[in-house]
Amino acid sequence: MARSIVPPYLLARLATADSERFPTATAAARRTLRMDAPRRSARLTLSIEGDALVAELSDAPDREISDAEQRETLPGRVVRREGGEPTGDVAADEAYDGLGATFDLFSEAFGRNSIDGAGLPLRATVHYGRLYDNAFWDGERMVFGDGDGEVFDRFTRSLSVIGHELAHGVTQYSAGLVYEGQSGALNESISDVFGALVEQHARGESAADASWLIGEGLFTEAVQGRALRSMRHPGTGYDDDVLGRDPQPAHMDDYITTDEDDGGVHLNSGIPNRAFALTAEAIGGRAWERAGLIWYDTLTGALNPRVDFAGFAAATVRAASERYGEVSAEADAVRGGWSAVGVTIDGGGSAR
Amino acid sequence: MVAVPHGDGPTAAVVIRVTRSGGVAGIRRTWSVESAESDGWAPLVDGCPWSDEPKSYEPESHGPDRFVWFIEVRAPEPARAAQLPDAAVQGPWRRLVDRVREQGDAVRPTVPPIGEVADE
Repeated sequence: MARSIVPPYLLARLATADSERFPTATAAARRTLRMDAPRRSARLTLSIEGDALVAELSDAPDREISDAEQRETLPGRVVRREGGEPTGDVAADEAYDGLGATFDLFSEAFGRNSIDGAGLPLRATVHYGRLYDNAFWDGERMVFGDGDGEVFDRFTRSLSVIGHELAHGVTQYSAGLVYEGQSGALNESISDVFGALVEQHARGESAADASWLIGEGLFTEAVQGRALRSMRHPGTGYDDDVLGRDPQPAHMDDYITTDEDDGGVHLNSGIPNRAFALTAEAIGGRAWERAGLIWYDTLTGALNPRVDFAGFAAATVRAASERYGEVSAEADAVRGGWSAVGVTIDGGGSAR
Repeated sequence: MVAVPHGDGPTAAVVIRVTRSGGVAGIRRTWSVESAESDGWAPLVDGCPWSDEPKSYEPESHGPDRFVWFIEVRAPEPARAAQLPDAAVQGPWRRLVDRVREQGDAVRPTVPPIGEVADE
């Protein structure tokens, strides 16, 4: 079986190919071009069954990587488009591959075609700014700095961070969680959840074998730390002379109230992060198959943009109950996850 | 509230602290400068567009994982402070922040962040 990403020109060629020789492929290519005009590429899977060539078209990413050339101006110069050869620039190629891995998780595990569910092109800019030690989602594209070289290495090194940024786009196009306080911490946590799942999906890891670390490999060797944060054990990502200790709380008893960081969105996200990791471990197997699906159903369901932890927890229990039954190992695992971090499930009975 | 920078009181000509929070890393970084010599700091500080309201933006107005900056000046007087989204740290703000980061000392963050308490 051959598997490839099909750029638009090849789809067009297939659509005009010899329809007697490859009737299915030709028809499928025509249908794809006709059905979805904005679509720029599709994935074609070819197999031979007996004497017949069977072609199957499915969603595929449409990526575009730009280089800001160390300026703080977006979008920068385009260096690689979908289907293009590797550039030889490590950051640009890591971004390209990372966007592809993220697309694959959402497509294969949740049936979502890109950020907006409708094949939106995935755009990223690398080499943003001089010694810029951050990565962010600007509402339209992912932006990656090279790091300062003292504390942070380049931000494309971590697949979980690339997935994290793209997941902000998914949240923007679904629940639209307001980036402040508890809804902001949930926005952050959802990006960590799907960032971790991108990494686990790409590696074929089970929940039990996964590191549950976000941003592993971003710190230089000078830093005493493994990662930006740990979903399984929030507050243990690093403990460094200069950076201090990872301040994430793992339980509502330690919830931090602050004006900084948009109300501590990167701090208190440790609480729902741990609830998800515990849920996934309790369910077992591959985290994206059931725990991830429950969180995805929740994110894309009816959710108040200013939902708090308790309201979100209740929504995850409803999502688990709808998909697996109110009395199910999955729903029990979700209740147990929230209970372990001290979140009372709003309106849905107490966490057990 | 955020704690007042440490300093030598009125004897220090320059006491400035810059705190950066947020970013995808969520790691709080603080740089502090204290000096008995004014050494050109006053025009740098006075050149920034300070306002009476330290926080000049709403969280919805800037995107996820952007930095948030808190700039506190105790000296040269008057004492003043501003909280800014990353995109606003341009021009005079950028010149002030860059100089504090270049010439100041990195301060080891505390947990929880200074001036904040965990909810009981």
